[in-house]
Amino acid sequence: MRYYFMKPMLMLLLLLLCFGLCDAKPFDIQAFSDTTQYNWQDYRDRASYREDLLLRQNRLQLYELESVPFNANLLKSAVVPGWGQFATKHDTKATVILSLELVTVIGAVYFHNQAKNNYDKYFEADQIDDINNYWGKAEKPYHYSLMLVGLASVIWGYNIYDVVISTNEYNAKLWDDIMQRQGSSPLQITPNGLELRF
Amino acid sequence: MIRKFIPLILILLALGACDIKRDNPLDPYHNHSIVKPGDVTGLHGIVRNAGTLTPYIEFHWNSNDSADTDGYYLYRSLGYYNSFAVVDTILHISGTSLQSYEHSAANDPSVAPGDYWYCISAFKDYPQGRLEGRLSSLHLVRILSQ
Repeated sequence: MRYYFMKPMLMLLLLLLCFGLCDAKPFDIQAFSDTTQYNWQDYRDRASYREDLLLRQNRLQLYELESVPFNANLLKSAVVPGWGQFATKHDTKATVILSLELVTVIGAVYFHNQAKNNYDKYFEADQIDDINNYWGKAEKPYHYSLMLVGLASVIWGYNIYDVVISTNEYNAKLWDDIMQRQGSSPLQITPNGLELRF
Repeated sequence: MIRKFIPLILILLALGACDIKRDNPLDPYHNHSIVKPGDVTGLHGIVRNAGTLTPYIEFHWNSNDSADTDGYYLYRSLGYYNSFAVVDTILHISGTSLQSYEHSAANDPSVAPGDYWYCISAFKDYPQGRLEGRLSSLHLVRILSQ
């Protein structure tokens, strides 16, 4: 069964190969080695182009080394709010976000536990005053807990929004810094080490 | 503009759906077939045989409606603000305007000279359990030694 299926396929492939070879053009070494197509008038132009290319490659390598990866930073902030902002050197903002998130989450857990304890007592109560009393004591902290969960979610959402903005800003600023560093100083830090230009 | 508020609205909806419910089977707010036992009024106690070895206190209180009461809990405390302990459970007798109970030293040696605070509550039995009503106002009983 498999053999009968493969045979026409092989024939078709061979046919296509034949057509391809018939249509092939000979490699034009003259056109390939013509440097004027790149606007190089002489070897100096070519050397300066090569130098410029190397410089750009160096900058790109430096950028890749020092930049903050966007997806990884987003994941960091999603797991621990503020972590991504720490990576982009926005330490104050990161501290505020992390502190607020911790306070709201701890507060929500505290009020939720309080509500749960009182709810358990409410559920077990068989005296009308106890039923009403424990219900009141369960309902209020539960609403506080919900409010804090909501607030924590809003802070978390803002943190995600902010890490997107701050990562992009950081990387854009880093690119500008690299451009300035490369242009201003004769002593350069390159991915390959130190480089002194004369 | 409204798109900015969509996550916030979703969070609020999700949180609103997480509300706790009054689902105690004896809670009249949850189960409308549960009737709250009526408040007990008119509790008063008269000390008899004071100064003897077997003093007793004769309690009377107004009868509750039989529809919401199957019995009563009588409580006692040594102080107004102290915690109360159940002295006895008394079954409701229908068809009378007054219910009564005797707290006697013959059955309970703790009935001795001193000051005691008493109160009473009604209860109603349901298949889900026994629901107790509100405590009555406190009644002071003084048992004299001589």
